Amino acid sequence: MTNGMILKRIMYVDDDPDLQNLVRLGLETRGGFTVKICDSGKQAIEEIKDFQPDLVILDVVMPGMSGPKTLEALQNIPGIPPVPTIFLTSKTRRQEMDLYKRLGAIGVIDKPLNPMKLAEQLKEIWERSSGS
Amino acid sequence: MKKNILVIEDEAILGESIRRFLKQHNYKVTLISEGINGVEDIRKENPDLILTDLLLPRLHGFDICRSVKEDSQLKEIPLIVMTAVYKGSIHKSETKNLGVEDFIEKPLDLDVLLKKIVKLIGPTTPVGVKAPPEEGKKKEVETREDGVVQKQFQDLKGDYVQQLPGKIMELERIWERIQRRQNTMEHLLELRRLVHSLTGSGTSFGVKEISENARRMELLLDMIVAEGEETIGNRKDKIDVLLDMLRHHPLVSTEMEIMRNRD
Repeated sequence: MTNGMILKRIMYVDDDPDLQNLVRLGLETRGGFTVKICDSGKQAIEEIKDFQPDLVILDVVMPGMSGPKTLEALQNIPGIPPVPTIFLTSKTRRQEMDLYKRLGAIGVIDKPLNPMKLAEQLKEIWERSSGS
Repeated sequence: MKKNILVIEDEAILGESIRRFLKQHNYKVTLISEGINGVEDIRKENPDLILTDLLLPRLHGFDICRSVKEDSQLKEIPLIVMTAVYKGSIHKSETKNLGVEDFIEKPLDLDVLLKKIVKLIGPTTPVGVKAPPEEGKKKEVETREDGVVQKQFQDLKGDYVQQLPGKIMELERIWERIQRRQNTMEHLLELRRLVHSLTGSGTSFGVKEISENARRMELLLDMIVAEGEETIGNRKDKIDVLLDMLRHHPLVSTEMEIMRNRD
C-alpha cells in the first residue's frame, strides 16, 4: 500500500496536548520526520491538501469526529488519493483492530506511547505495508 | 563553509526540532533557548540568518527585530519571525514595518521554513539532500541525541505530573455538575474526554495506576453515554470510588490539598 515510498511527512491527529507533545518528541526530534499536529478530524480534513502527508496517524477516540469517521472523510476528499493511515489505540479497544484494517488502516499502535521507540514502530509498519 | 543560523526559541522541543532539522540540511545552528539581553549576544554568533520567536524571556522578539534592523553592522542579516497562527496577521504587519525579511506561522512546517531560508541565504547542500553523519561519529551522535530526547521526555513528564492535581480537580467539578443534572449529557461527554485523555497519557508517562483507574472510569462513562443519563445512579458509587482513588494517588493528594487551601 505504501508502494516503496519514503516516509517523511506525518500528520498526527489527536485532541490530547500531552500526547501531542510526546509524539512531536518521538517523531520530529528523535525520528527526524516533518510532523503536522491536528487537534481534530475537522482540522485534518482542512489541512491535508496543503500538508500532503505520506502517513496519517489517528487517535481512535476524539470528541466530535472519531478516528474511524475521520479516516472515512479523508478517503472521500475529491482530488486527494487515500493516504496510508495508522490508528492509535489503547489495548481495551484492540479487538476493534480488524475493523480499522477493513477501513483501510495499514496498522495499529498501542498506547502507551514510547517516544524512544515510536519512530521505529512506524517504520516497521510502513515497511511491512510496503512489502505486502 | 557552513552557513550559520541563529535560532532564538524558548520552547525546548520546538527549538531542538528546528536545530536538528536544519543540521540535517547541513546548516550550522546556534540555538538560544533562554532569550537574549541585546544585540551583543547576536554579534558574538555572527549569524548568516536569524530565526526568532516573538514571545521570549528577556528581550521580546519585536525588540530583537528592531535592534537588529537599527544596528549598522547587523541590519543586513536576514530575519525570519515565528509566531502563532491566530496572531499571524497582526504580527505580520508589525514585523514587516520593522524591516523583517520573512515570517512563518506556528505550528511550523519545517519544509516551508527550509524553503524560506534557502531563498534568503541559499542552501549549504542541495535542497532535500540530507548531510550524512561523519564516518565513525554516527554512534556517538545517536547516543547523544537519545540523551537529548530522554531529557526532554523527563521534562515533559515533570510538566505532566505537575498538572495532574488540577486535572483531577477538574474531573471532580464536572462530576459534581453531572450529579446536579446541569447540562448532563454535555458534561458527561466532557468528563469522558478528560478521563480518556488520562487513560492514554497516564500510561505513556508511566503513571500506570492513574491510567488504570481512569480506564475503568472511562468504561463506566461509555456505558452511561450509551444507555442514557438516567443510568448515572447505577454507576455513581463505582465512579465515586474511582475518583477517590485518583485523588488519593501520592502524586496528586498533597498538591490537591494545597490547591484547595489556596482556593
